[in-house]
Amino acid sequence: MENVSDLLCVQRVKAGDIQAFTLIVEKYGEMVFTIVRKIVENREDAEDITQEVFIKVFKSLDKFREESEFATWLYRIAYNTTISELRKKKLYYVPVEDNLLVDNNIDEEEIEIKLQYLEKALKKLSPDEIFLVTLHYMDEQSIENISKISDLSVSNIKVKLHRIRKKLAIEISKLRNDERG
Amino acid sequence: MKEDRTISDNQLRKAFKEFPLENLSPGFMEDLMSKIEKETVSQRRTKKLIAFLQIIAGIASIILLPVLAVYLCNRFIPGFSFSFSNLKINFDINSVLIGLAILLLLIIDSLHKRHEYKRQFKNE
Repeated sequence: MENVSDLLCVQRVKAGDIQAFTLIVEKYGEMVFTIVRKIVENREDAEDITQEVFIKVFKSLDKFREESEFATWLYRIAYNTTISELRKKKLYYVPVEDNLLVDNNIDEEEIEIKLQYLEKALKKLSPDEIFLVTLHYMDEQSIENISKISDLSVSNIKVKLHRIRKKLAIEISKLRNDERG
Repeated sequence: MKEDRTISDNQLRKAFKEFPLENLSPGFMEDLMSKIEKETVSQRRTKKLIAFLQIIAGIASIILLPVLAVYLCNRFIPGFSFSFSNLKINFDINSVLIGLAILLLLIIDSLHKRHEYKRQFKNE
């Protein structure tokens, strides 16, 4: 049912009803902004990127062939725009180092993820990793959809998600140890 | 052998569920829509300009292409000689009228469809 209303909005915008676009922004704006905000530190930068995403969506609506899901298409634009804006504006993020992966001092029972730890740990991931993990766990996009959005293979995404979960576990454990010690 | 520790799929799913969505600034929508309206105006202008240029190019090609073709034939094909001043065209007025009528019907039909399409969306 949601997809039907998406398509109807798209068709209305294509027919020249610009106001129908507000429905699209109202529906997806906050999710796109939330994902971008997790990648970009500054709120204004994140809003600028979110605006850029929706302007691109509007300009490219003629190219949307209505064969795929609108959300998948929109998130693909959001993904590409965020990554390219990060490169263009050199909005820096701190990637987690691979050697962290050998740190195994985590007690499975202790991994009780608190939001502030997770929020901080997310900042240690690369933008495309944050994109994958937020789309999958927060917006509940299927791995197949994420594969279409990111142009990565299904198996590659599964591997990446596994690595991301490991990185997050290590980072959360480090944050806890820092707090205790 | 070191044990491979990680967060489980479900744990992460549950944790992400608790994350609230970030709220956009109150002025976000107005700002975005004004940018989009500007974009629409500029897109319309560009489309009009392209359409105008296409018409000019079409007319120019209708006139220039036969002239160019005749010039090239006269220039490069031995024994070929053609002059537009000797050309006499006989219009069949009936054919021209039928052609214009068909064109008019097509224009009326497309305008009608456009009107219906807009009315349908307004009703929805």
